[in-house]
Amino acid sequence: MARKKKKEKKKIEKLRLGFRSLAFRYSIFFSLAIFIVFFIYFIITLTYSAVMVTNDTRKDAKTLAELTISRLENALVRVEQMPVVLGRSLEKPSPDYYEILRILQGIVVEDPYIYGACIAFEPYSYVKDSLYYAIYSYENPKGLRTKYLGNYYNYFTKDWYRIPKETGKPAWSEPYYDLGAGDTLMCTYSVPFFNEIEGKQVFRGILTLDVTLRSLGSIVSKIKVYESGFGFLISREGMVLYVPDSSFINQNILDIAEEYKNKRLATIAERMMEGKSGFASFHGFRSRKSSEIFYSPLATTGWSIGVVFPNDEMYANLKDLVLYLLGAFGIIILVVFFVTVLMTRRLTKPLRRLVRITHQIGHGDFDVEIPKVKRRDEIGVLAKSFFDMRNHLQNHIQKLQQTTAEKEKIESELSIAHTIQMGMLPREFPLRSEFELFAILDSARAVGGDLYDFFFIDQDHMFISVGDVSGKGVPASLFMTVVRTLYRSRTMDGQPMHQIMSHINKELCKDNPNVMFVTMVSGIINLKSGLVELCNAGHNPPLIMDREGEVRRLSLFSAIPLGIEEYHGYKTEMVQMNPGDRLVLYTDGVTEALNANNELYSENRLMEELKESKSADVPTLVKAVVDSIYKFAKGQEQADDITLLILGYQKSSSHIEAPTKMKQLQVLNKLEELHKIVETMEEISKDWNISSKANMEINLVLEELFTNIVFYAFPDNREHKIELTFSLFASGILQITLVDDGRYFDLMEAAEEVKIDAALEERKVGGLGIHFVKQMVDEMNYERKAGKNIVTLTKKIK
Amino acid sequence: MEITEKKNDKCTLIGIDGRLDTTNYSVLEKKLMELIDTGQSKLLVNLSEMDYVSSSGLRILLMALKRITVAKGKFALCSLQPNIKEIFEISGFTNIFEIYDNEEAGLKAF
Repeated sequence: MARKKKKEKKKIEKLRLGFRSLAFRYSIFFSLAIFIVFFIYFIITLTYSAVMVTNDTRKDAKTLAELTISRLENALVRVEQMPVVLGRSLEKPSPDYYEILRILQGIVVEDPYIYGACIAFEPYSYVKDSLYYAIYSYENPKGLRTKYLGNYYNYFTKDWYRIPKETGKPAWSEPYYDLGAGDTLMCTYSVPFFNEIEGKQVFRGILTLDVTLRSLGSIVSKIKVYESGFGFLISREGMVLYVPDSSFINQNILDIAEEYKNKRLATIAERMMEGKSGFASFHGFRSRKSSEIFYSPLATTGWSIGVVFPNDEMYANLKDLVLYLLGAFGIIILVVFFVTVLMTRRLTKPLRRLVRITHQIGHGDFDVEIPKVKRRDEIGVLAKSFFDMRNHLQNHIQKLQQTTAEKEKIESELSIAHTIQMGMLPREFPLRSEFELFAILDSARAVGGDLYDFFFIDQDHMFISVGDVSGKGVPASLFMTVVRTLYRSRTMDGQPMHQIMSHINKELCKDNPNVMFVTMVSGIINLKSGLVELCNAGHNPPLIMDREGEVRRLSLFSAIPLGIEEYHGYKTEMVQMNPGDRLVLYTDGVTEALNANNELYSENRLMEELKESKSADVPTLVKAVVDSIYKFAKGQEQADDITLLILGYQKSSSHIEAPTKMKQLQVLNKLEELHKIVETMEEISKDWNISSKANMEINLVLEELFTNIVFYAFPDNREHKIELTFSLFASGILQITLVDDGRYFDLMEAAEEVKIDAALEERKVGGLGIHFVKQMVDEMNYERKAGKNIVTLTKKIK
Repeated sequence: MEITEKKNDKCTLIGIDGRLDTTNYSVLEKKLMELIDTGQSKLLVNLSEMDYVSSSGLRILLMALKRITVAKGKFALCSLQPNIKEIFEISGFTNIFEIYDNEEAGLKAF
């Protein structure tokens, strides 16, 4: 018990809610809320930043591109302006060779982007007999060189010559790889020049300026965006003029796009070739990096410049931002979590204490101290009402315990009273051959008002009585005890019945403030003659049933109950019982038992029921009647005590004479007890002068009977008593009775005839005992009475 | 009850002294069955000192007789007290058992 309590206490102390605690849940809740807010903030910030970065980068790219374009344009415009400055001297009718040389060399030296310059004349226009006339000056690492191209180089069909000649306007050629001239990728700006002859402008030839793309590419190569962002340049036809990876130079961008299956690049390239400008995104065809591109055309040449910048580099700074934000974010959530935990634990501390106290109170510990909570919030109110509840409960339980204790006390008193009252009723019914007696009292409540009684006044006279005390419970029980004491003391004086009753009446009236009374039928029966003196004090009249089952009511004079009127007279009436007659005494609990239809059991039914079982012995008859009452009143609560007493009278058939000598012996149902019987027989044989032969024969019989009882009578394996009575009559007859309360067993019925003449092979090993018994006594009688086996042996010994 | 046992060259001589009844027949039963089980099939039981025998006792003697007859041995009684002899007569045992008046006569029979 103490151990269990300890265990419970431990359990209470161990009360840890863990993840289910308020503190934890609130913390999770708040942290979650903050997480959501931060997350939204984070997304917005990131998106905004990304847009900003993208815009900035685009702006930068555009600026870079435009800057580069203007640089390129500057270079190209300078190239374009060169002939405008120099053209005049060429428009003279015939400039001399040196002048041409000076012009050409001046151009090459002056302009860093110009690699070479050439003047090509129309057929026969400079020298009359020369079809071709072209002079080309160019720079190489060794210095300035000049070539005369005239005799072997048919330039009239070349684009740089033909197109400006036909259009009459300067033109930029597509980039080309000129093996003949500079051995480098170049573009040529061709300008036609004219002579005025007779007021007409006559086409004289073409001035060309070769611009190496290497020099222009150095301008584009200055484009740097982040780490790996770069610029590139393509011609109007899609020829790559410059890109940092020189292996792509001089290839067509559309071919590259096709080779790398990059449709997006092809689309972008087409738009660039159309001279459009704008932003686009694509994946690098080698790095597969997601990148942005800005493209824009050059007005002069129709080329297009592209600026490429990879996104990851663009967003590199954003990564830092994200990390920074996440870090701050994590710290804030942790702080919020712990602060909430601490706050909630502080807030719920009284609650947790209340939980522990509730446990203790739940286990009956009302003396547990409830700490004062000074707070004025809900928890304070709860603590206060908890305190009140504890006090109310404590009071209530104290009251309850008191009430229960009182009730238990009363019940235990009642139960003691019941035990005493039941103890007053004689339970051992006499076993006599002259009469049978049996009674049942079944109380409706713990302590009832009914009683029955019987006792021997002397050898031949017996007192019997059945009564009913007014009221119930302890007072009725006490009153009954008084009544019993009175008639018991009076009866032994040998007074007639009516005097005994009058005496009891007077005594009861003397000191009876509560006016309790008792109805009673009492009688004294002479067991020899069957004559009964009866007196009725306001009780149900007795019944008599004869051998044939004829039942009649004894119409006695019925006086008023005892205890009411001090000087009331009572009357004794004599009734003669014949052998086989049964005298039936009962209380009103029998006849007034109610069934479900509110019908009375009634005297008639009682008479019928008696008649029904007329041939049964008395105990069986009593039980049968009481059972019929239960059956009748089935399902109804028993309202009153039920008492039934029946006395059966029969004249004793034999040995009316009293025995001269008598000896009684009680043994237990154990084989070891046999020696007691042997010793008693030895003693009797000596005292009563019984021959050793007769002694041995009786010994044999008793041993058989005793052994039989021990082995077969008691299946319950409990200890039982076996009573032996030895009686010696003057006529020289020895009578021995054996009484046991075992199960029904008639030895004679069970016995098998033993063939004493049989040969050895047929002789059975058992069965000899009964044979002895039959041989060795003169008479043997078996009776079953009141649940007992009675065997009477008779043997003439003298 | 006391049981004595003497062996001679002809048979085993058993003596029963006192009462033989329900409370002690098993002692005799055990003794006799032990002898028969060890192959001694020639038994002479001297009953001169037995003053009482009940049906349980008789049952043991009958059992011994039956077992020895089966084993083709010999089982005999001698020196019965008059009262005991009467019981044997009542039970018909005088017809079944070989009974001799004294031990000498009994021993001669083996």
